[in-house]
Amino acid sequence: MSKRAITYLIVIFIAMALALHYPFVAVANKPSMIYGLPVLPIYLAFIWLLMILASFLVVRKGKSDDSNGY
Amino acid sequence: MKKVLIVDDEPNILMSLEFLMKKNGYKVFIARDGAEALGTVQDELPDVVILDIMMPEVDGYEVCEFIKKKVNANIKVVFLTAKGKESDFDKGYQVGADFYMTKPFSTKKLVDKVNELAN
Amino acid sequence: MGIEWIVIILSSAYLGLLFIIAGWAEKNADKRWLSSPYIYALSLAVYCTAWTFYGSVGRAANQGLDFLTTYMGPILMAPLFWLVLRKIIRICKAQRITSIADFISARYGKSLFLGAFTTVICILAIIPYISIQLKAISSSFRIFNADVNESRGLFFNDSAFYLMAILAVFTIFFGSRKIDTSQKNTGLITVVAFESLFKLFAFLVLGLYVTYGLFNGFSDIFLQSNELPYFERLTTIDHVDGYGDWFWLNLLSFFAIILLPRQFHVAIKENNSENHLKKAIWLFPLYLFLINIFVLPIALGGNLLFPENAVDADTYVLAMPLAQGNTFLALLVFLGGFSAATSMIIVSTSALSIMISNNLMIPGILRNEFLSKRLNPRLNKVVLRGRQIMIVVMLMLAYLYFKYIGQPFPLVSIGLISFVGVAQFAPSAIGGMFWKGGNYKGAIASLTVGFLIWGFTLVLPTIVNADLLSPEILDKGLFGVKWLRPQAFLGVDFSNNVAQGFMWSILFNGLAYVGVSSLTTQSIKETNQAEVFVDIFKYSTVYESAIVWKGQAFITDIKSLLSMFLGKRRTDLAFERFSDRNAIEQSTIEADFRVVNFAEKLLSGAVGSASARILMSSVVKEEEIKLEEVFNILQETQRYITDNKELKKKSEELETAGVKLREANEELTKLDKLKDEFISTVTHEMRTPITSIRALSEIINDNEDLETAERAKFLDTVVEETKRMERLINQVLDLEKMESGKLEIPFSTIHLNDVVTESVRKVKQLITEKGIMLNTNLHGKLPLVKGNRDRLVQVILNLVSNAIKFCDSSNGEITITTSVRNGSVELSVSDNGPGVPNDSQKLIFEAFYQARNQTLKKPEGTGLGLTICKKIIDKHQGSIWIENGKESGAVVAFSLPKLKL
Repeated sequence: MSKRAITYLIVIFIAMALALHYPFVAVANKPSMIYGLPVLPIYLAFIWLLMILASFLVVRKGKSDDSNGY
Repeated sequence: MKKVLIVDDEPNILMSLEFLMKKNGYKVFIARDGAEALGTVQDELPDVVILDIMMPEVDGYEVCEFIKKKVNANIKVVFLTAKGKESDFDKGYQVGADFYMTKPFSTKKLVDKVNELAN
Repeated sequence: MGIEWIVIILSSAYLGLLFIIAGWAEKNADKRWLSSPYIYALSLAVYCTAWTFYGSVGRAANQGLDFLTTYMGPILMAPLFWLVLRKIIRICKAQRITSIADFISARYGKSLFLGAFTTVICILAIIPYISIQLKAISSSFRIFNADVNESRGLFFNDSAFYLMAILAVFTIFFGSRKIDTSQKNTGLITVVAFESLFKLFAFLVLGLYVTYGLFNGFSDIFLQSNELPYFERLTTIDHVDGYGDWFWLNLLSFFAIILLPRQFHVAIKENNSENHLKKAIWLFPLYLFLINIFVLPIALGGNLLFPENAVDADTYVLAMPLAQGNTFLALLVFLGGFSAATSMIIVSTSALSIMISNNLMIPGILRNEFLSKRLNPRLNKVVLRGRQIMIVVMLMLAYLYFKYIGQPFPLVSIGLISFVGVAQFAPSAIGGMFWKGGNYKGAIASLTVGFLIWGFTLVLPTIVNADLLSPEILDKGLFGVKWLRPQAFLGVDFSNNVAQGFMWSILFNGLAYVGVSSLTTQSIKETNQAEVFVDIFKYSTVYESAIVWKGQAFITDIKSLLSMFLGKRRTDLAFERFSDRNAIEQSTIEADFRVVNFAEKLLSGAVGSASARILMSSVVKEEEIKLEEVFNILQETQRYITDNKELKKKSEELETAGVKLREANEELTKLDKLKDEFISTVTHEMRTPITSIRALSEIINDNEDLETAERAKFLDTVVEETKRMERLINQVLDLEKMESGKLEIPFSTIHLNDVVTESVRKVKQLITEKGIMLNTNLHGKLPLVKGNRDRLVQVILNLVSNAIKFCDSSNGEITITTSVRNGSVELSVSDNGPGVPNDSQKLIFEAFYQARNQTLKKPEGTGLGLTICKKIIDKHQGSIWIENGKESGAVVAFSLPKLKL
């Protein structure tokens, strides 16, 4: 994997860790509903899927690179 | 009359040796190679054999050995050859030669030596 | 037949299926897809146990989104797999580490004590965890058969007991077959991957059934449950304590995904390729997403269907289809939960059994003089058998725990307490991997502090709850000190005990690790290991040479030690390969550090690094190493790695230069020899004419009375012989010029037939004198060639005069033929003489071949003719050869390339 891909993965981790914790998570921590669904579970599921997609793209791009990096 | 056998494959050398020996009163026999020489030696029992070494089929060393061992050790053998290395000399005396002389040779010296050996 | 029998038959059939899959996979272990990244990612999902299957819904029904914390940590870790897991994998491969206990022990100088300590913590943390799997299965049995209160009966009436027995057999079969634990267990991993797929499938089917069968989709469930009084609590994080708990529990599972023995087992020990991590980075979070997406709907749906806690929320997943009379789905769900439990039990017990045998049993045997004397000769059998016994013992312990202690707890709490236990390894394991300063004393302090706080804040209350201890300590604190209450440690009272216990334990643990490590110094052996762990990517390629070692050992000793564990054949093979790779002579008697390290590494795979260390020290006499030496050697190693490539290139260059030199030298001596030979042959050839000239001259000189005719004949001969000398001298000079390349041969476009005609004209007279017939047979449309007319005439004359020499003396016949063959122009001269022996046909072109070869009748000539011909033809880019004619005689021929237009 390229150094760049690894950097992206670390960025994904940091962004996720921030998005899933206080204070960011507090933004979605409300008892209201959208489209008949509670806001917080939707927010968490969205972050989760976003993370899967981002990792998938980063890893797939880095596939052709030499695996002997750091 | 003493007999001399000359063995050589060079016709011009044979010619000069034949003249020399005849002139000094020997009965001369000629062989153009080793195989011929073996026959002539047994037939004529010469007193002296003047022998070249490098000849096709049977070389001079073999002829000399044959003469000394199988025919008569008293037949004198003089090697007359272009082979001039130390080791060639040694080998010549090893097979029983009485004298070893290199080509080109001094006619006087050869005649003296043959005379000495024949008597 | 009652439904309980169907359940029993189904679960037996399911276990039978596992045996079949595992057996099949072991046999087909070389199939590529069995070691594919998908299998790897699925095997990571052993993380999802019965706790996930039953407990998540229960937790969601009671506490809401809290259940997600178990999965938030792992998905946060996923992007770091490449950074963290890959490093651990590389270290473990290099050092043949197979468990977390081995890992920690190896990092801190292969310490026996740390290995044992870690193992003990693991046992204490994991046995209850295994027991809740048994509990989950047992209580799911009861759902189907509410009348029988099985778990109160004697154990031979207890289904959980039989399950345990079957799993023990399975684990022994597929988890502890090979003594060298660094070999892969394809069967085990295939089963785990299969079970991961199966439990996901079962759970998704149930989720779809509940969401779209019992309700009208997600929003229907949420809108209906919106009416429930606690709905808000279940779908949000508590604003007071919630964020803190949320954070700590996420951090907890963040560590657990790597440090849990079973995760370490599948993610690291059984990893086939680092590249598999690339798939796992997104596939594993996706799996977790799918298995969690229906948890909240099922939980809320259950709350709606079973109001007022009529049914234990941990069993909603079974109760819901059963309540609707959907037995088939209930059975599928049951098997799903069963698969989640069994995979966890199988992997955990085999991981633990390896840990126990490598870190407790073998060191115990080796350190006990009595035992080691008796057991040493068959230590390999003892290890394997011991591992299998350990599997049974642990399952027994888990069963007993389940029966006598664990009953009153919900699934989740015991699982989380286990998590906190293994999370105590985080500072020493993960910290030690990135920080060289962490040392043995720091690790001991860290584990001790973490272990004590964990035990006090989390384990102690469970013992109290099981009525084994007076509840006084919970209310009044240790020794009556109020701030030493387990559930309000230091006087701080969280709403969530697990979050609180984890927070305090990990904080003090980390502090102790950093603090003690900073205040104390490392031993040399530790420095060595710290260097390798932290900078593994620098060392992994030349690992064998990177380790500092001073001492004495004999290869035969090491080999016999190894063959005890690996078998003679594998040992010999491994040594052979290693010797080859490192250019070690097979006959070497004394082992150097590379061999010792290699052997220790191999041994680590079988018995763990700490035990391997002890075993090696029995055959190796080690010396103390000074710190400076370590640094010097490490620096040297680093330099060696960079220089290595350069060096290799240089030495290769040197080698080729050496070879060239040797070749040149050989060529020179050969040439030298040839030159000597040439000179002696030339002088020899000269002697013959000179001999005649001298003898005849002396005769003429000494005999004035010679007849005129005789004198004339002698004088003619002298002249003839002089001419022969002259010819010889000219040819030698010619040859020398050609050989040294000084001779310029100007080329022009010529017709070879013309050359033949000219040559024939020149020899005509000689031919006629000798009474030989000369025929020419010239090709009518002969192509032009590039060449030198005079030189080609010389060649033809030479060939013809040779032919004359060898011709039949009475009926001599010579034929010159020109022809075109294979795009070349060819000329041949054939005679009707005796021909040339086959083996001489090539040699004949060498200088003085005739002179050296006495078997040939000596013809007239110098012996250089054909050699010169060959040189001339070579200059024309042609070739010359000799062969025997069809009937008789010799054919000498040459060919020249056709002129290109």
